[in-house]
Amino acid sequence: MSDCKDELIAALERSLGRERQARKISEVQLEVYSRDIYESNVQLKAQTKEVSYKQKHLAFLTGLAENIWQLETPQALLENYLKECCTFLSHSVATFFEINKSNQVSQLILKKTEDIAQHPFYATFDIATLSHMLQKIDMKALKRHLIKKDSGHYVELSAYLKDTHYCLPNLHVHMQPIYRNVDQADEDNLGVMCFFYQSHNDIKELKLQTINTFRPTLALALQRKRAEYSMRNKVLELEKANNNLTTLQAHLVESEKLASLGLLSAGIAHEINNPLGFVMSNLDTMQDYLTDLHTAISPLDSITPETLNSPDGAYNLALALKQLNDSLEVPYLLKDSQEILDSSLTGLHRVKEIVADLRVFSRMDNHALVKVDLESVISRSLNMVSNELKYEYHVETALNKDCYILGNDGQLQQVFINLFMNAKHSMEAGGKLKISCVSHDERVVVCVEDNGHGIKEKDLKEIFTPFFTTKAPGKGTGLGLSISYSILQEHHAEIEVKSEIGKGTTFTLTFAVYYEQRC
Amino acid sequence: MKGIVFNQLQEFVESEHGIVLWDKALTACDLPSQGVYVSTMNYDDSELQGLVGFFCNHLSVDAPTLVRAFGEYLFPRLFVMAPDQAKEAKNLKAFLLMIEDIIHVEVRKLYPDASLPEFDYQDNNQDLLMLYRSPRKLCHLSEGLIKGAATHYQEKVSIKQTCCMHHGADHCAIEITFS
Repeated sequence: MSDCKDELIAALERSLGRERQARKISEVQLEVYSRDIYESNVQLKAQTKEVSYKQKHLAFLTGLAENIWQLETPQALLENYLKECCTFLSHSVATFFEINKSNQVSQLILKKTEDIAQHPFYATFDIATLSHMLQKIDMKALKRHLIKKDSGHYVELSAYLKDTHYCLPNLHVHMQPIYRNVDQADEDNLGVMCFFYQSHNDIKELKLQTINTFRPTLALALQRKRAEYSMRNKVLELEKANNNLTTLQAHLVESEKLASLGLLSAGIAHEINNPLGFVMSNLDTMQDYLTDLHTAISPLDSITPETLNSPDGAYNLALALKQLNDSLEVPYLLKDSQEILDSSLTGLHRVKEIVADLRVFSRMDNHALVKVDLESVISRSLNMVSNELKYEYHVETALNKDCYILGNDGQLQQVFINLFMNAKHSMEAGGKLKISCVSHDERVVVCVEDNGHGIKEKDLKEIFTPFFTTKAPGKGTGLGLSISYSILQEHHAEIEVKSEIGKGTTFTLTFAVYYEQRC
Repeated sequence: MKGIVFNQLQEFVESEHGIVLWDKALTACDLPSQGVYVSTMNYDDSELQGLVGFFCNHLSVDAPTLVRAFGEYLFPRLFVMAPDQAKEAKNLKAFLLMIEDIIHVEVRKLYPDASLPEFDYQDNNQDLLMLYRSPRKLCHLSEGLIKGAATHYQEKVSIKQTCCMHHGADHCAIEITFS
């Protein structure tokens, strides 16, 4: 029993010893854990601080990246960038300048925060001070140095002073070359971002590094913005040039029309002169007839009541009238007068028509497309050139009625007159001009066919080119067909030319039929 | 092996056979740790093997039986330390299916250096086959733990191994049949 107790006590003692030892180990372990936790905590705090710092830097970069693509001009982009950098760096004046090919400073921009502006030192550091200071620097040497470095770094400006007597303000200068444009002459334009600090303690190296990481993005954004800007200016210039061209084209069309009118004027004058001639002659005849008619009725002037009441008087009067009527051939005069008047009216109508056609043709201000009848336009055009084709030319027409299209009378007339006159010129010794106008399959097709000398194949490709002409110098402007082509394009018409040397040429114009609902 | 297992083994032995036996075992086995176990620290596996061998000889019981009994004893002590999700398992099978993905994950959070067995499952509704893999080959401890868990969930199960690492297999297949 006693042995058992001793054994138990001994076991308990050893157990206690083990427990005590285990407790000590646990306490040591606890201390290790506690230290580990402390160190982890310190590490965690440092990491949290770093994360917070990185978050701020990231927010700064994200803010820059968001804004950079939204700003309109390179200047706005740089100003915004400098403003953001100022706020981010807290105690710095941010500037940008470009060292141009002539090693002069251009595009000088300076930004400082409102807080900095209150600072006695920074308050006086303005763009004029900076400009004055930079003038004292050897920009060529500085540019060479910055190009060589090609990264953000501190620059000892005094090392680049041209005037060694000049007293530079006590500043710490951090410079970042942003972009470098090299031209063909290997001359550089160097864009430089520059941060000025009064105190070294204000410099936050990591923040400058963060700003430095944005350099390529800024350079790219500036490059793109400049390209956009230049592109926009080019587009504006092109638009202006296009407007000028449109105006010039309109002037050319009118000039060509006037030239055609000049060519036609002699013929038109002749066309007007003919009816006018016989109307004049008719009127002369009518004047003689009127004199005879007055003479024929002159016995009536001497009629008195007594004459009429006397049987002899009435008889003698009737006899005199009869004799005059017979001798002067009054019935013939009256019949011929009617014919003369009819003929004069016809002649004057002809003149009126020619003048009306001329008015439509020469109208310059109205280019609106309206419903027009091609048959009528072709007929009017033929009227205009009728004198040109009067002799030695046989004009054959097959013009369907009611060939309506959406067009402009005057412009179309210009096209047809041009085609007819070209046909005439190709048939120097006379010939046959066939003109047809038919409507089918929602198309109106006009064919102008001559049996003249034809167009050479090599010329066929050029006939619509402005100023191309096969006529002798001074005989043609070379604009007729090119203008006709542009007019037909405005009418959405297709134009086809077939020509064979010695056999003739056919122009086929195809228009879309006019429908009421189109208007 | 974590110190907690040795501490629980000590309590198991002391509660069943008294403190003197445990003391004798420590004295007889001449362990590197001198029997001083701190639950969070690691100890050589051979210490457990030595102690188990001593108790088998002393109590005239085979090792699988002893280890199973210890596992059954160990379960409720470990269960209190299990994560809430595992504690909320509705039945034994649900709990067993959580061992690999929930319980062991939590254990690794507390003891990153813990060397835990790996389990694969084959669920056949009425049967659940747990494929045990561990260089320690403590499949009998797992059997005991499963039995302890069945007691906790008041479920009747039969447990057997269809193959065992102790007989040359590369894993132990513990089959649990739910009645």
